[in-house]
Amino acid sequence: MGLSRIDSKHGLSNIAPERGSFATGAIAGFLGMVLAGGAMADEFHYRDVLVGTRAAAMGGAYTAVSDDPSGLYYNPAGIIHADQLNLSGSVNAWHSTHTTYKDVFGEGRDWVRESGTLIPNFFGITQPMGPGVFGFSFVVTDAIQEDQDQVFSDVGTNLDRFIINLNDTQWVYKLGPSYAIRLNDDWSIGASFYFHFRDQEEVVNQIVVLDEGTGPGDPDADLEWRYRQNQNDEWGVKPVIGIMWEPEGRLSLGASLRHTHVLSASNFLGFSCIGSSQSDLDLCPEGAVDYRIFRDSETRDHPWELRLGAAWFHSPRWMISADVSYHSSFRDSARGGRDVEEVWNFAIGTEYYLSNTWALRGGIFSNRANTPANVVEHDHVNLYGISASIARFTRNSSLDLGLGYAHGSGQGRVLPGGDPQDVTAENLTIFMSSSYTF
Amino acid sequence: MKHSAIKAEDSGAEPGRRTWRCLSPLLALSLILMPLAPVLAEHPPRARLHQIQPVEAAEANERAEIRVGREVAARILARHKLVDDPALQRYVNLVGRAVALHGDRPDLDFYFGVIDSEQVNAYAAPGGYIFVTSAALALMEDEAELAGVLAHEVAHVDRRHIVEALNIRAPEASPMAGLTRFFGGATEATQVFFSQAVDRVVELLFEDGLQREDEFEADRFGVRTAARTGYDAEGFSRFLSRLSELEGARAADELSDTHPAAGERLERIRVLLQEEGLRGPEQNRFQARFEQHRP
Repeated sequence: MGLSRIDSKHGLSNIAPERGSFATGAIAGFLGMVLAGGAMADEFHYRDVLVGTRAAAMGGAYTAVSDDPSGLYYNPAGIIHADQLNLSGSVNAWHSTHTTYKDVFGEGRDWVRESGTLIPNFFGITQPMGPGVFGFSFVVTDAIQEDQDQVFSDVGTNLDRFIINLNDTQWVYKLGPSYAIRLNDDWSIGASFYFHFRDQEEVVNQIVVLDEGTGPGDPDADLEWRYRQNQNDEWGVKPVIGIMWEPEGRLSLGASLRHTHVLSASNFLGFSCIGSSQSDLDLCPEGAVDYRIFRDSETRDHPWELRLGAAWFHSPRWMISADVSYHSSFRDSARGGRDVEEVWNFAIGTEYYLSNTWALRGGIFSNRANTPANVVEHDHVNLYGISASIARFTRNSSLDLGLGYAHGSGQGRVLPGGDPQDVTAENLTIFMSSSYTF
Repeated sequence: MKHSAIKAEDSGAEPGRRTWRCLSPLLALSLILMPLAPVLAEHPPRARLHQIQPVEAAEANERAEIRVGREVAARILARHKLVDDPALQRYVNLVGRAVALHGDRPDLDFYFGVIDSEQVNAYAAPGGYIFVTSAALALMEDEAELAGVLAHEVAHVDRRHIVEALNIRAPEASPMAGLTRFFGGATEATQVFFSQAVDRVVELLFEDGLQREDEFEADRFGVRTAARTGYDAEGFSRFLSRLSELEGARAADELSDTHPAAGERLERIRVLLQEEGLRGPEQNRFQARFEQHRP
């Protein structure tokens, strides 16, 4: 358990960094050591936010469909089917996550983090132009406003209280133009050129109050307070190329390939600490406020993503589609650095029209972790979800209301060096959107 | 870039297997989906139901109208049997279909029948099922009068008077019906819908009657249709006039519950004939041919 570190005379000294080493690249190494639960936001999954409305309701199984503005993101080749001006916007009315680390401080003492935020999930427009179709879209692919306020009392030997207050905000969004052309009756290709932005800020306060008799002023209590502010901003480009093959009228096969190239990054870490008699003196000097600031501009790498999809347009009333997606492995230099594993995900979706004016959509999908199953440092939770929506159509417009829910369990490690805990995670998204065709 | 190196290693080691790994789920899915046969071939494959709404709705509504009309025809024949004279039935059908072809819905299949009834009347069920009573036929003196009566009933169908009055629509246009169908109760829901519609149509035909304006409109359109078909346009008004004078207006009373007063109708038709110059040659009454078939 992590507490044993605090209880021990060694404190955190065995993992303290050398002062002189805090140069470029040092933030990553430092971050993972100084506070519990160092990995914030959700960098372990790629499907936390399902983009679009029709697509989201179908579990994201949209690579071979992609015939409305959402296709600008999933597979730009599909927008070739947009034969008139089409505006589409969706709002994730509410996107929330709930992660529980079981029995972190003994049985029944769970470590709980929650996030709830309103997301402007997607806006897109398609317009026939020249020999093809032009489009422009704005996509929010991840949004987290995570919060944790917990106090644990009488946890372990010599530890009276453990207080943690965490606020973590992360936004990842992209915007850019797209264009698609038809090569012949069966084949079309398209490309989107997204500008990629990522903005993350995290503030953590952690107070450890030791039992009476452990401090230098015996029998007074002793405490350690740590504060960390971490900010990472990055921007780059994310080109997407897509291809669609429709060999038989009702069957469509699609594929898209994308990769984010980070062109610029700004990383900031501010760390302050008042140490206890048990603290690592290099990292957190006893009784004194130590404030350190680190900056660097190290850019993160991102995985290659390949999506393959198939769709069957059985009739004007019913269609079904499926996607498999692959994210390559890579080395993430952020947050202590880690080897990110390759990930396969799947999605299956369907759409059924109750009438000319009402349609139901549904889907199932996976959101698997890019971490090793054998938990060493980072959570490993594979999520599986369902999604559904109901749509109301008029002649030129539609209004959608839907939800997505994903649940998963696995293991994670809250305290550096401690034993892994059982983790359960839930994501709930309620979304609504409207689109208009001119 | 490290991921590039990894990719190069992988592809260099087993390129075929890697490609197959990527494509195999897709091919498997395609094989699963292939047996699902197409249903509606007339629409572009990607067209969704809401995008083909106008065409689809009109077709579905007409199918519903015909289905209701067929049920109503069965109810009418349960009350009054068909006159057992195939030659007469064929003759009335020929005259009726000739008239209907000059109406507003020439693509609709019309069916005509002479039913055994002492009441002087004619009935038009939705979807093109039209009946004239043997008593009405007995009152007629020539084919132009028969054509005039049938044209009046055809006009009711063409103008969808009952369909509009009772708001007969395809059940699939209703969200609740669609939901019921989705969860497997399609047949039952549809049956309930049609049964209720048929009951209301029968009430309208035999008891309540149509709106006065609908009758006047059927008179106008019927007279014009008969004239376009080549019949003496005054045939219908002659029949109506004779009906109103018959035996102290006994037969007219039978119509009075379901139709406006004959006098007002005759006056409107007279004005119409005059204004539109529809008075046709007398020889187009085809009296001799009519006499050959009248029972």
